[in-house]
Parts: sequence; structure tokens; C-alpha cells
Amino acid sequence: MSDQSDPQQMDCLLKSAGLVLSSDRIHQLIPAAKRLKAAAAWVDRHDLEWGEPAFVFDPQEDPR
Amino acid sequence: MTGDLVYLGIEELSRGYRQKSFSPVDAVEAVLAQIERENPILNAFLQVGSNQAMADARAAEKDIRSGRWRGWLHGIPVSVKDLFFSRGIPTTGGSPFFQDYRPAFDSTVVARLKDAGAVIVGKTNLHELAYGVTNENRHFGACRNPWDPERIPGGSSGGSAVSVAAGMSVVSYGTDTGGSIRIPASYCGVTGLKPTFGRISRHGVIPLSTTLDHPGSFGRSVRDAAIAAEVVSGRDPADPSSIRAEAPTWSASLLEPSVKGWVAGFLSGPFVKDVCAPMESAMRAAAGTLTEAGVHVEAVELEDAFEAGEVAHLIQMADGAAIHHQRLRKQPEQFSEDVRILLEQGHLISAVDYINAQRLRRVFQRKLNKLFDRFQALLLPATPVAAPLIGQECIDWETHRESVGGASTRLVRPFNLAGVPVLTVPCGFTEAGLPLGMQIVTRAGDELGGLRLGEAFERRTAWHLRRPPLIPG
Repeated sequence: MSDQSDPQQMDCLLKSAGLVLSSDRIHQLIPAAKRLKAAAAWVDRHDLEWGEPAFVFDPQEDPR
Repeated sequence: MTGDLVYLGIEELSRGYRQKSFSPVDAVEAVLAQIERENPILNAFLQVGSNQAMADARAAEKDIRSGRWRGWLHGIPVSVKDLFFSRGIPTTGGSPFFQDYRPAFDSTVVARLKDAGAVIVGKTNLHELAYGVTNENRHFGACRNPWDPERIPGGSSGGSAVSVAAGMSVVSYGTDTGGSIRIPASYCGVTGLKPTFGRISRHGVIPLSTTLDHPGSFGRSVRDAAIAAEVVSGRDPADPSSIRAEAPTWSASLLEPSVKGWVAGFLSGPFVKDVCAPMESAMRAAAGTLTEAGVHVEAVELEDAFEAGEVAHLIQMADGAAIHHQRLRKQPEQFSEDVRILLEQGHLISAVDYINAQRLRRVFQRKLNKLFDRFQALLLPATPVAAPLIGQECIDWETHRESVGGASTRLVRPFNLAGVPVLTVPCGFTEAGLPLGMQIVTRAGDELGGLRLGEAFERRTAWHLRRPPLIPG
């Protein structure tokens, strides 16, 4: 997992998405980036099964 | 007479129409007069379509009197969040990007309302692009809470909740990505239903998160919210995530509301620790009421609930950033600061984290389903506090501060991640007269279970019958 709360890495990520932000503005994003990092770390701790798909419901099925 | 009509429910109005006690024209006139009186203060509507509404009411009156009654919503005044496409009528999404946008087609929800003969009186205010919970819309003005206009109504579907609470529509339609139906339902003292993911079509709805958006309904009773939702439910080939189920008939099944012998889990533990004292006592009283109705209420903890909310937040941020990416690149100044910063943050999420967050959803669903093997429903507060003040930034707890946005969404987000249905019902008031709401969470596809429990609760309480102190008619 990349460090999404490091200002330099944040700048790189944003630039790669075509967003050029001032350093002041990037610093404003840090608290939220830390929160996201914590959420991502929690996701990382799970040993997901290989077959675990990335969607909520199979829309072909009635969820009942 | 007309003033009395604005707080009648769907079935009372519908019966009155068919018995010729009053007509759809009377009801729509009364609702439009209420909007004229209250909307300058509450700002619940971004557009009011008086002329079209009156034409639709006259057509409904003629049809019903000729014996061509189309069902419960025929001639009923409804409102729709300004996120649902309505053909030829501006659909702003509460954003300057769409302020002149007139869709060429109706969203499936609007099309089904028209087929049902409902009278759409207007499009309701919302947090910009449905991305926020305060409804302090900087482009179209803040929507205000009818119980105290100095307070937020909650959001993002705040205008819809206010329109129902203040008698400016009988039912309304909103969307819930991270609590946007349940939060305003709690803050405004109305019933809100977020159905199962895919139950109501998202075709023609400006998206925020393609995997978390849930359209749903508001009403002043469980029954009204159920009727409103079932009329627009059912398979829609135009929405790839629409579930393959026939339109439900929940309202008919609510005629047998016995919940004797049911088992409900009362959420406890750290996830629900930080709630205000009035909410805590309202929830305890609600558990007592359900026990009197024959429900066995048992304390239970929901493992990983806080983390599930954070994962839902991560997904929402990435989905929202993807949807508005081009607009953010080209015209960032067109977004309000609060929305712009969320969209920028969404660009910081890696593809790996996003995909694994999506994969984790099913793991959380399975945990939740294990609880549903023991309990028919889970009970918890919809919001930890009553409606905060407009401009308020934080909630102070004993040991820490929490942002208004964080607090408002904390108890609702996990259930967007799981995609399960949740009903929010009024469950009490603070000493200052502000409403409080309770969530009833059920297994995916089992909206009826929540509705039956909600109606059993409603039959034993009068919270849903309180009306806000508005300008007299």
C-alpha cells in the first residue's frame, strides 16, 4: 500500500490524475488522507479469498 | 378544509377521493398553498411546478370520478429530490454544473410515478451533488429544518424530508449513499426507507457512487413510505444493478402487523457508545415498546461496524471522484469547497485499495447475515444526536470532538456497504422539541420485516403524529 498521506506522494497521485494543487491545498487533504489510509490498512488486514468478487449482489439473483 | 388535507396520509386521501369527500384538485391546491407559505423560510424546493401539478390533479380527478382509479398514488401530491431526471424540467443536482440541464427523458422513478397517476408538485433541495449531510447548499441556499429553522434538516435528501414533515408533499423520493435518506428522516421526524441495493432503479439519477447509491422514500407513516417505495420498485432493464424481483406488495402484507415472537438485536458496544442522552433513553424506551408488542429484544454487538463505515466512505470517495473527475479537472471552482475537497481526496485512493474494499463488502455482508440467522431485525439510532445548528462544525463528546458530517454518517454507513434495507422511524424528541430517529435493519430483500416491525412500533407510539410549529394557514 502506498503512503497516501505523504504530501509528495499525494502530489504525484493527483498530478497523475490531471489535478494540479497548491502545496497549501495538498496539506488540507492530509487529515482525510490519513483516515483513508487507516481504512485501507484495515482492508489490507483481511486475507480475502481468491474467489471473492468485487460486488455487492449478483443482479441476476433475488437477494432473498 | 384545505389546510386539514396537507397532513393526511395516502390511504385517507385516496379514500376521500373515491368517496368524493374531496378531490385531488383540493389536495394539490392545499399542498401548493402550504409550499407558498412555508418554502420561503424552509427552502425545501428548488422548483415548484404549480401549473403542471394542477393539470395533473384535474386529470386524476376526472379519471377517479370515472372509475379509472390507478392505485394508491393516483392524485397524491409527491415531491422528488432534484437528482432524479424529469423530462423537460431542470434537474440541477443542486449544482451549477446542471442548473440549466433539462433531461430528454424521465428517470425510471419519475416515469413510474407518472404511470401511477401521482402528482409531482416539485423538485426538492439537496446537498450539492448529494455529496454531504448538512444541505447547506451554497448555490441554491440552505434548506432549513421545520422543527427549528436555525438547524440543518440533514442530507443529502434534506428537501425531501422537509417537504414531507411540513405538509408540502405527502411522500417524497430521495437517495441514500451514506445515510442521505436516514439522516434527514431522523433530523426531521419522518419515516425514511432505504430499500435493498438494486430494489429501486437508479436509471436517470445523477450518481454519486455507482455501487452505494440507493433510491428510497419518505412518508409521515411506515405505511406511506412503504406504498411510495413499492410503486416505483421492480426490475428495470435500464439499470444494470436492478435486482430481478417483481414489484413488491409490502403495503398489503402490512395489514397483518403481528410481530409477536420476533427476535430483534439491540445494537450495543463501542459502535453506538457516543450518542446523546435523549437518544439513548429514546432507544431504551423503543426497545420497551417492542417488548410490549411481543418482540424479544436482546443486546448484540455488530463486529467491525465502525470499520465497515470507513470502508464505505473510502468506496464513496473513489466512486464520487471517478464520476466527477472531468468536471473537477476542468472547472474545479464550480464546486463548493466542501464538495471539491472530498472529490480531490477521492483521487488519492489506489486501485488496489478500492478493489479490495469492494471485495470486503461481501465479507461484511456475511457477518451481518450471521446475525440475521439469530435476529429478524437490528435496532440502533439513526443519528447520535438531534439536528445540529446550521454552520455547526463539531459535536463534543466526553473524550473527543467529532465533525457533524462524521457523527451524522457514523451509524448509517455500514448498511450502505452491506446493501441491506433499513427503515428509519421517529422514536422520540429532545426536551427542545427536536425529533430523533431509530434504524430498523433487516436482511437483504426483507424490507417487509423492517416495515412490519416499524408499523408495530408506530401503532404503540405517537411520535410520527407530531407536527412541526409552522406558519398557520
